Amino acid sequence: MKNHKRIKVAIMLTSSYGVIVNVALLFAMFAPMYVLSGPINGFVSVVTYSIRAFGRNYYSPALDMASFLSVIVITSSTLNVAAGLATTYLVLRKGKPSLTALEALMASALTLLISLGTLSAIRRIVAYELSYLTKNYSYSSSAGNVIIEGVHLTPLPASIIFRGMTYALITVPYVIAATAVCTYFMRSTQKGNA
Amino acid sequence: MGAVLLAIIMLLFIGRVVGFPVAVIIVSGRSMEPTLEVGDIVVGVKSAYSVGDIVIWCASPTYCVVHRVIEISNRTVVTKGDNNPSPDPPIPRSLVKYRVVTVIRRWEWLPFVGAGLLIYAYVNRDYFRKKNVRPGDIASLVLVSFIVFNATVALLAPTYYSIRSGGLAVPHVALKGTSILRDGSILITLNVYNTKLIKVTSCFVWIYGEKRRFRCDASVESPTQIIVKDIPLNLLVETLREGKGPLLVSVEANILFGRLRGTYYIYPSWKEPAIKVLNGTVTITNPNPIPLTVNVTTYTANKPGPTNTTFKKITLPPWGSVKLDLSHYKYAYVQVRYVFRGKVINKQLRVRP
Repeated sequence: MKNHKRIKVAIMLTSSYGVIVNVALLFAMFAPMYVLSGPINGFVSVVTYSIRAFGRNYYSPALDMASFLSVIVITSSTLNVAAGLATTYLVLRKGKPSLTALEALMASALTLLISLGTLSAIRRIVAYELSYLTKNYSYSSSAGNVIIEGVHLTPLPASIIFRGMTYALITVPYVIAATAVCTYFMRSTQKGNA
Repeated sequence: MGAVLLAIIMLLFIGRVVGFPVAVIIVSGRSMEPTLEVGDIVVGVKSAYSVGDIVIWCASPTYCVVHRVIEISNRTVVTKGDNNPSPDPPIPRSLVKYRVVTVIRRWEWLPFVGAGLLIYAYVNRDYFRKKNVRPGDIASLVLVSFIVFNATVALLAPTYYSIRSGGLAVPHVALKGTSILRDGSILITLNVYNTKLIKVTSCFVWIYGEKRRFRCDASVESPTQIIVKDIPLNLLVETLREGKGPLLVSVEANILFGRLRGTYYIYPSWKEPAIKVLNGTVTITNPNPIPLTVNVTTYTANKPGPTNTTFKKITLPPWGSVKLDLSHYKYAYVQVRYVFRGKVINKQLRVRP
């Protein structure tokens, strides 16, 4: 009985953590990550961007590509939020989660591993494009030295999640915990049934 | 039935990879807005195309571009996104795979797909009931669906991104030419792209090889022209008369999105005065930006015999001229003397008869 309570608490904690992490991730996907100022100005988020370069609207195939690929990460996080909320609801309402909800929680947690790779690709694409946009545009011509104003890049809080290993550090423990807790619960349920 | 439908759809989507006569592609960029928007499905067929058509060209089996044809030559095709400021680089004609014949808007197909999934889930609701679900079924369904979805997105989106941006209009400034105006000012004309001259912040002028530098008054004449005034006269005189090195003008100016710092070589040409005789009138013109002194001696008479001689030292202003009317004499000669490049030039002209 005591053990059963502990598993319930573990499931609750894991699913709640998953909901928080994935809601934060979804927020970070939509919120502006970087603000550009100077002759090239605007903002860049994973899902969208709005940039004016030298007085004209700028369309980036690379950022379009990143926003298209972000569908994978958004789907994965949405699945995790839905599965986490469903599991939490069932534990609170019925006292124990259903097998369906637990399997969904575990599988959706595993999808985060796939989105981890996708997000890494998105990060590279965005970083590459931003380094291109913030380069030095000054040059020399027959008119002399043309010094173009510098482009400043200001990272916003949403960019923290994409820096270094942050995303992996917050998602991988969740994936491990969700898989372990769900597997343990399913095994103990099967033993109980037997 | 569902599996067959799914297989046909998948075949159409991978049509471009295997070279089917018909291919379907999802628009993933904004370069063709407003004609095509992100999420729209375009259907392409292998057929002839002309300027103005939207085509699908593929640089690799997975990287395709949907753009409009703006130019066709024997070997190459130039395309451009409707929303891009500049065209794409020319591509070989062999890369153009399909001509777009139909566009299915995202709001036309997305609701149908959503409704279809919901109907599928409703029809198969018994399967999802607890009693029919075996352990591992839901987990497998979620994972496999996600992987299929993932693969589909990766296949539909171009898996390559180009270093070439969608048209970054970096301002460009180049020198078009310099000239000396009638008042001795210097006009610097520039070719500019996506910028304009705003304000001149400093100006210096000097003779090449000399250390003395003089401030000058420069201003923006037009978005592409700088006018440099108040050039010390002695600088022009030294450059022109004494044949010293070229004149240098250093200008620093604010331009839209940056600054311009340039030094320009001015080569003023020292020209001989133009002397013309017409109907008994002598016109002497100074074609130089500095004053010019000429000694004019006239020999006049109304009958054969001794002549009246008059001597005049005339200083012509820059670009100025002087007229000597000798038409009321029956006989008139004129002698014009001036110094040109260190030599005394002596010109004699018969004015009348």
